[in-house]
Amino acid sequence: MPAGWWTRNRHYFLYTVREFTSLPLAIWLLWLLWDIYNAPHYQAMVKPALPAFAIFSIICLPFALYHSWTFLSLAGTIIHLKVLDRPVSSRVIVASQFAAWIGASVVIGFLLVWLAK
Amino acid sequence: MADKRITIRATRYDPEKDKAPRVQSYDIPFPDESMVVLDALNYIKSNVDGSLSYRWSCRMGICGSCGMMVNGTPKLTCNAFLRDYWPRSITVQPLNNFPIIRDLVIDMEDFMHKLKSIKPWIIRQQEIPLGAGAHYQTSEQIDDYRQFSECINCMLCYAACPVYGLNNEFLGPAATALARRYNLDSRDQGLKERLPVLGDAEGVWECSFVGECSVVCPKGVDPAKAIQQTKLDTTMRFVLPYGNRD
Repeated sequence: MPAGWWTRNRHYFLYTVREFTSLPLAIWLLWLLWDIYNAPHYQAMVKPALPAFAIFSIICLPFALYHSWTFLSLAGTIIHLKVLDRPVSSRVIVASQFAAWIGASVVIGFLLVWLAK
Repeated sequence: MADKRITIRATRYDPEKDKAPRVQSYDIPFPDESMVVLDALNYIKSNVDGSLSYRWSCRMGICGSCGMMVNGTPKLTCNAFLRDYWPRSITVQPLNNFPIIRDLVIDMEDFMHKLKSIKPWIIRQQEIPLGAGAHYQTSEQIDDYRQFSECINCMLCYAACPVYGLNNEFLGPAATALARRYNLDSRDQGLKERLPVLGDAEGVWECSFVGECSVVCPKGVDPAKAIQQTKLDTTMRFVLPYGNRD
């Protein structure tokens, strides 16, 4: 396989972008865990680190949205479900995944705002 | 108006003479809009260069023999119309990710080995004698596996799969789709015999869901779906209580 195989067609390129988006998300998560780990030891240092973390979080947001979008869109292919002996259509499965994602985001957002108060 | 012509650029390779595959161009007549790439290759072989080697058989998208790379995309050449490419030239190459035997002929031994490893036949713990009559299935039971049974072993999905291209130990799309076809068949009881191959490190877990296998399949089979659903099934069997029961 030549090194540039992923530029051969659109699907390969989008696949590579999808896989790449997990890299900044992994870094973001490690950063978050590092901050949580250090918080009890030197709280004063946590606050100055916040703007940098906030900026990095904003940078990561499109990556997270793209990764989530592609992952949830593929759920209809992955999940094979039957209700009353009839297969559930992939569109319904994908829609339910997006609904659960939006629902979870609203609940978590509400909790964060509520806790911040 | 001058007679319409088209240029076919075919890969040539004779292991006894050539160090590496090379390209040879053929300018041939294109008199009929219904001509496909396979017709063009047959014209070249009959009228221009009898030494050109390639596989073909049925000419109607059933046998799966004539799969080649057509302008970089894996296609059945009996189903790739010249009119879709003309006036551009058409580059015909052997399927990606397989060793070349000669010209456009690939070595399919690896795929045959993988196909056999998933035991693509109905396995019964106890055979039902023929005298016992037909083993009936409902249309819903047939619908469970029908699309996976459409696979014609053309190997286009292997040529499209970069995971197989990077690691040819990977079981691959068609073999997994056929394994799923039998695992979903209500007459089959061979799941436990196929699981060690499917769940192996080079089995379904090697797939990172590029999805191109399903895009290029000429029969509308969705091997990517078969692989992802097998991942989910094997996980459920491992995680759920009594998941590993028969």
